[in-house]
Amino acid sequence: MNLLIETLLNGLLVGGVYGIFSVGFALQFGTLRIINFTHGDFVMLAMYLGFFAISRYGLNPFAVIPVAMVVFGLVGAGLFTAVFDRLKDEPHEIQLIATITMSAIITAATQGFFGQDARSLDTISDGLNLFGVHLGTWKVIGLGISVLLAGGLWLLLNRTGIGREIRASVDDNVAARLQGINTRRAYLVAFSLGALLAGAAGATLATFYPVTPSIGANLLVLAFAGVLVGGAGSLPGAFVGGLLLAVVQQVTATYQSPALQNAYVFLLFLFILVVKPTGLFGRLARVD
Amino acid sequence: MSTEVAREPGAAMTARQTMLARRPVLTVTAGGVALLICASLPLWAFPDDYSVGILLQIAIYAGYGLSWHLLAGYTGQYSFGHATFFGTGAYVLSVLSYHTEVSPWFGIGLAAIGAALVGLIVGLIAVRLSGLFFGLITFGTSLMLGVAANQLVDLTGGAAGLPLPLRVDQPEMMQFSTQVPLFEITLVVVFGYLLLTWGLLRSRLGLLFRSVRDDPVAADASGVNVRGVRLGALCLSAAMAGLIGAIYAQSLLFIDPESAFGLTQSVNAIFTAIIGGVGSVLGPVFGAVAFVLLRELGIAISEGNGVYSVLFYSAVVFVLIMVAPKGLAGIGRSLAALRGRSFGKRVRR
Repeated sequence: MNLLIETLLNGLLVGGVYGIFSVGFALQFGTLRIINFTHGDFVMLAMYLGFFAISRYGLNPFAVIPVAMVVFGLVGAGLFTAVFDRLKDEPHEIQLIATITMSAIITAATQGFFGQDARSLDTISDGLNLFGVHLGTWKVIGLGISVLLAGGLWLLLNRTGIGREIRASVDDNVAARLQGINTRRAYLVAFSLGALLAGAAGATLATFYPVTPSIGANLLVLAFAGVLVGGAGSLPGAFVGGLLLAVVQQVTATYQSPALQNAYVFLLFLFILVVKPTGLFGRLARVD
Repeated sequence: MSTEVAREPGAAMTARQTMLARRPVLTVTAGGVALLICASLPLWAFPDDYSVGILLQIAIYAGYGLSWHLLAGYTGQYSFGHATFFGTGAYVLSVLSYHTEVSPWFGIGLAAIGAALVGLIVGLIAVRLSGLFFGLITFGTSLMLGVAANQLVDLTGGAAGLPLPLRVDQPEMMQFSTQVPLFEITLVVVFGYLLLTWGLLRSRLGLLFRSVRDDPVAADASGVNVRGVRLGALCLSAAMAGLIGAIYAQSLLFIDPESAFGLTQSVNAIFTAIIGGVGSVLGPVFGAVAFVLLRELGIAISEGNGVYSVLFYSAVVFVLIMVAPKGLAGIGRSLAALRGRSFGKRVRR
């Protein structure tokens, strides 16, 4: 019984981080309608940033996470201006190949630079005991940070002017432009926010998960599946989708084998698509 | 959203189609001559083993790119996991050759059928959905089959891979003293694919394919069985990829889960088709030439370090795609259009 509770709780704790990077992915996809294959690599780079800042320079993880957010938010803004702003109007296949090659470049460069080895921080083994249930300290903190960020994003999108502009651009960018909304600025902010969430997720993930250069592809699959399970076009859906996938992963890893994790994630994804094609919280199947 | 974007390459295709329709005999003759020239390449231009190996790789990736392109270019279904079908074909052939005495001549046929069956199963779920879902389902399937190939050690040899039995110089087992015959076989397959694609463009079926891509709602309203057409195209494309995958395994006499079902193998199909330019029949062939040569160049300048080789060709493709989003065929077309016009004027198709 304890094992089951521990597994489910660990799933939920890791799921918070999955949730925020799924939300970042959904935000970028929802506004630009581009599948950003570099999203997973951004998380991976943020994990390296977190790893080196904490292990080499002995910085406090709490200080590293905001720094990662700012750095990646700025990198996102730069990437948007240099690449995605131009890609926005190209056909799907061009967008696809451009972001896939960018992802391959980042992965290969990281492999060349840091090597293939997995690196993990000492904080990975920090644990605490709650009523006989063993939990990773940093996973608990990670969930807290994720919930804070998700809440902050919700406030930003629902209670501020730029948030309203972003939502308008997501719903109907032509109508938004007709209302005098600067959709390019809305896209810029949304894309940067997505990158910022990737930065936060990566720096948090580094405290309890080993980092390898190729982890980006795995994370991307999860973000992908998380968004579609939760329902394309719904940010809360993406968060819940991420949580759900993490729970499935943990249960599979505990009761079967870690090698089968992604196979079960995909089965869940298929099941939900067959039962409810719009995803759990999808308003409309506006995906293509 | 997708309809307006997807229509753009379609316009070019229709123009091309009318041009080809006018001179079918000429096109087929030109194709036959091109086949003979390509087939004789190992005799006079590239006789050494290394070059023949490169030619074989180009032919394999051309066929693989053509199978992806048939699906994406003509029915608008972007498969992110085409390795599903490539890998299925490769494993069907390898498992048959390893565990039984079935000749690869039958094996490659069975590989195509096996891949088509996988395509049918995937399709029954995937064609109900479109766009991103379709891509993700194929991607997820490749992931699952990769896990399966890793886990079913008795059948597939697991992560270590499966070596095919060596039967030196036995043409009936599709093993020859050089790679030249295998190159010729692949070449015939590729020309078959080209003929198929070209024939499709000119046929009613091709029209159905494009109607489904350009405007599924209007196609549905006109009595087109949209799901049926999508499913048929997927099975056809899967069979093509499976056959090529089988040839790939036969050329290496080895297969492992990563090279069969890995993300890289899925991306290779997209690379090949897109570098050449989507919407052009010959696009994937140019794409395969560029892709294989770039990869070899990458391996050469990085002195065999796979990571830097990937870095090199990804960077080149990225720059190419940002500079010339219409692909190599697009550059060719722009150059052709430039001829006879004032230089410097930007020509959009």
